[in-house]
Amino acid sequence: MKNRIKELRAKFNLTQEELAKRVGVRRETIVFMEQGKYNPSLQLAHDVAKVFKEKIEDVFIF
Amino acid sequence: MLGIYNIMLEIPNKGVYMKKFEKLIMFGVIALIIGIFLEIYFPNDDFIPINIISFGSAMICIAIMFKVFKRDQEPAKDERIIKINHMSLANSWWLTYVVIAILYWVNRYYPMTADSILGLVMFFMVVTYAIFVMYFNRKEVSY
Repeated sequence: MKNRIKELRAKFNLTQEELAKRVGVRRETIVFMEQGKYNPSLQLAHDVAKVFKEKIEDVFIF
Repeated sequence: MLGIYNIMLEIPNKGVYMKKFEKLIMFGVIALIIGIFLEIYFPNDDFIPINIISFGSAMICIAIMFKVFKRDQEPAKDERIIKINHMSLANSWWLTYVVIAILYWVNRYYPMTADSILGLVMFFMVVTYAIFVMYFNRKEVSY
């Protein structure tokens, strides 16, 4: 699954570590999500979208 | 085993950081005390106390490793790690089941002692679990 996490992180000037802390996961999980190698749960997808003040479907491209 | 331990200590509130180091040390010391107590009061049976003491020592070693690699401040509830643990445990359990089935037939033709079979199964389950965790950590987790 493709996503815009990297792009939005740059826009909000957030590091992977900071985003990980905000959504309560490990940095590795953010790395795998950015690479499209991990499909997050709905809860995590919602939390990530909330950090970027976007809708889930605008962050994750199905 | 570590997977079960991670799940047991899962904290429901998102963002709560727990100190795995301290909890592992606590479990390790409790296991050591129980093992030593059993060894003193039930000296005839060495098998269980030795295993409990080994388990306690392993816990303390893992705790020290957590401290060394500074993993104790990371979130306990990482859904990817939980998924990897679940998948690794499930796969390890199935492989161990297959090994038990094979050992059953081997034992019919080449009788083995209960000690050797139990030791083999225990070792096999832990090792395959660790291998699966390493494998799934590198592989894409897509569900």
